[in-house]
Amino acid sequence: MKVTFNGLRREVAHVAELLPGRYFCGIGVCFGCVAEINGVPEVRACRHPLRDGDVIRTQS
Amino acid sequence: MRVVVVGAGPAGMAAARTAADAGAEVVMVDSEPEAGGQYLRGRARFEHPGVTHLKNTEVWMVEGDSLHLRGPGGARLLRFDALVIATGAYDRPLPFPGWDGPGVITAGAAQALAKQGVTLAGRVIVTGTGPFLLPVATALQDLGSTLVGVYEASSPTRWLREAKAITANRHKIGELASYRKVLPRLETRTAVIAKHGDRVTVAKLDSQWRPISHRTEHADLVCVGYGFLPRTDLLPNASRTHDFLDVDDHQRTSVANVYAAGEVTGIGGADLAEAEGVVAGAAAAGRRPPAKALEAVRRGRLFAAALARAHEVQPGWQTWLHPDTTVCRCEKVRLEDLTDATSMRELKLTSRVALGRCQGRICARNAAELTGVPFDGQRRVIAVPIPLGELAELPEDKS
Amino acid sequence: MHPDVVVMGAGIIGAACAQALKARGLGVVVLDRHGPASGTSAAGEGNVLVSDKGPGPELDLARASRALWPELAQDAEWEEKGGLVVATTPSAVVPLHAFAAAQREAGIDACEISVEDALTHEPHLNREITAAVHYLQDAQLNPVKATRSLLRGIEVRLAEVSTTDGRSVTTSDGVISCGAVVNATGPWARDFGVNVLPRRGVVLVTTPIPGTIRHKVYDADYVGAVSSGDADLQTSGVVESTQAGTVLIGSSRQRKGFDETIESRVLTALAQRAIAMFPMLRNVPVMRAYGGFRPYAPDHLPIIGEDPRTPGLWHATGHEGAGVGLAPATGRLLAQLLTGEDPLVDPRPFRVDRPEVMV
Repeated sequence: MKVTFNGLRREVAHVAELLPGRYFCGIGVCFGCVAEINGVPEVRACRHPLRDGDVIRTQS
Repeated sequence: MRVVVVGAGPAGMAAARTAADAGAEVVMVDSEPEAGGQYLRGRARFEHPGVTHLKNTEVWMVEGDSLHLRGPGGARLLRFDALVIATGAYDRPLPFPGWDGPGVITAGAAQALAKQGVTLAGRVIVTGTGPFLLPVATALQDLGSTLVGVYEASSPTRWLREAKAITANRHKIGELASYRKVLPRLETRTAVIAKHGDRVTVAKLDSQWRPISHRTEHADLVCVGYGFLPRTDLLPNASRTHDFLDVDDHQRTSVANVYAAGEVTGIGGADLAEAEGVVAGAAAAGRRPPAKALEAVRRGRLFAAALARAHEVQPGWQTWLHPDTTVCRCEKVRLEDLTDATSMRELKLTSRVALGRCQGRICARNAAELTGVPFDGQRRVIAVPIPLGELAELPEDKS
Repeated sequence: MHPDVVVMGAGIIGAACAQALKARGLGVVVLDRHGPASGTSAAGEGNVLVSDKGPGPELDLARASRALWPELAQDAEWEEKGGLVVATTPSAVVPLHAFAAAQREAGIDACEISVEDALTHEPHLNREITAAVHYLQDAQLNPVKATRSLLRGIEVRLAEVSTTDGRSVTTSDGVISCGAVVNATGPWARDFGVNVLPRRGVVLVTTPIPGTIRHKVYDADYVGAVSSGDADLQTSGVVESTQAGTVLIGSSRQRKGFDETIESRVLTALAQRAIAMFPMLRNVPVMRAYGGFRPYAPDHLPIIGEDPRTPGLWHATGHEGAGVGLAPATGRLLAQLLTGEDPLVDPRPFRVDRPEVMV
């Protein structure tokens, strides 16, 4: 999937690859992977089916 | 008569089918796009003419005889006559130096990725306790990862005391055979106790899980799972034991008209979860549960109790931490930040442990054990975060 | 060794009483069912406010407390953030300005500021507000840390008290003889003879948005909700950040005994009030809600003094939602009355033998 991650173009198979140290429980419980995805804040990235063109921004 | 089932794993699907077969109008609500739960993730084919399956829908609160839902159609209120909670459980991680850095995920996360055909690393370690580590290791190996080791912290001799449970559940022994490819990599009384970059400290443990010797291995990914914690958020006031919901022999919780089935009541595998689902679904629909399912639950609970005893987390893990080891990932609370509090509430508000986004789902139990405060379970009013704007516009009409 | 004084309740009021008594050389033991700050004290926002009180005895107590807190709250995230009270309707402007003028007469820093200045103080505030008053003295602290700080060096025992006769207390662990007993059990004080009722409150907590909201900001109609005695649900917009960046949203008042159920209609009302003040909060998720019980006295005044019916039994309760703000002066007043010192404020308005209080 071709996505924009924190302003950079990346090609990944899964959102977990973008979030080392943040992607942790993988099932929406730990909230470590929360990110702004396509303008929506506080999305648990592990629950988001990644698509070409997604824009992902990590939050503090 | 409307039965609402929350969760579409083995327990939820069984409850929904059984209640529908008994003539109830059934709605099965689940947060995932497909039925199956974590166990069958996307591989279950669930269809039943009597069951309405609400996908991608989260329940954030149970209020009286209604559920508050968030889903593709926005917020809605769903009324029920009987409710079955089948929300399952998630991996309990134990903290160690480096667990909050890159290259450490839960065993459940590794399995969820594997079921999507994704592996994150070449060299992997699976560490924790319980038979559920084996399918995770198998799945990683099947995807081409190099399995450095599967480390089981407990001693297998603990199972020698559980002859009765094993005799009643011989099929569980058979399941072990399907993991034979990873058994050569299995080491018992062993655990990962630190990770720095790809250097992983692996320790031999005594019976209390205190390290007695250690060595270094190289791995890119460590998958951690020390048993499971139940997802009980929807019933903050229900009676529970070690946080698992208490149920009677018809799967009734302490809350009127609310039943529970599957791993939210205890960990015993998919077959027990399914049997509990059948019992709960029948009882919720006002029918007598089938004798076969009741017997399967009875046997399965023997195994679940034995499993809990044989793989009980031992206090020696607390010696793996350094003063600056993270305990709470969300709020970056270290061991040395924990206070000498008397209650969980006091501990949270003085150290900020468990006050972050996960609301203690990952760290509260560990923080309680590290400080000796009584663990008050998972009592949250809002089961999933909800934008203020949605709260402001909650529907009043029940459907 | 018998303690000179047993304090029942290790909340912020009990801790302040214990601290003031110990400072006067008395031996103090504090008893609590669940430990320090395990009830009402941990369920509030930690407000130390002068802005919400009109001239009168409670404001006198609040000002005396405000002067004492900075020294006592050093390890408790003390923050002199200031309060911003806003009118949200044209008809609320005159009453807000009149209230502020009366407070200025009583010596409070209540600065009427323009809407434009209010927006400079709080850039995300709704531009539709009609008036604003800035209270420089309003402050906030972490109530659990403050309670622990006050209790430093004082023995706290986990025990449940069943009865007291003013010279001893009967607990789950046996009988403790003592010289005097202080009832600082907050909303549970009725068990020991004063007419205090629980008044439910619920707070919403958002995910962190550090730096977005700087002051304690509340709708001017909050003062009316506090002083009402209505049992039905009342809500008002009260919004502020914690040091961790989460936003706390209140406030609700409801009298329904010790019923801990959280109702979605309360959450909805709080969300509506908060968004009306800060429209940007619409997209911010709420990650937690919690409730607590304020100790409510029907005539809205704290109860501080000796019980004329039971010599040796002293009460320090009935502070409703202002216990944190009123704690240091309450503790000091009680200790002064108990040891025969001159009191720092006139104690008569707080005496126990008020018709609404004696039960």
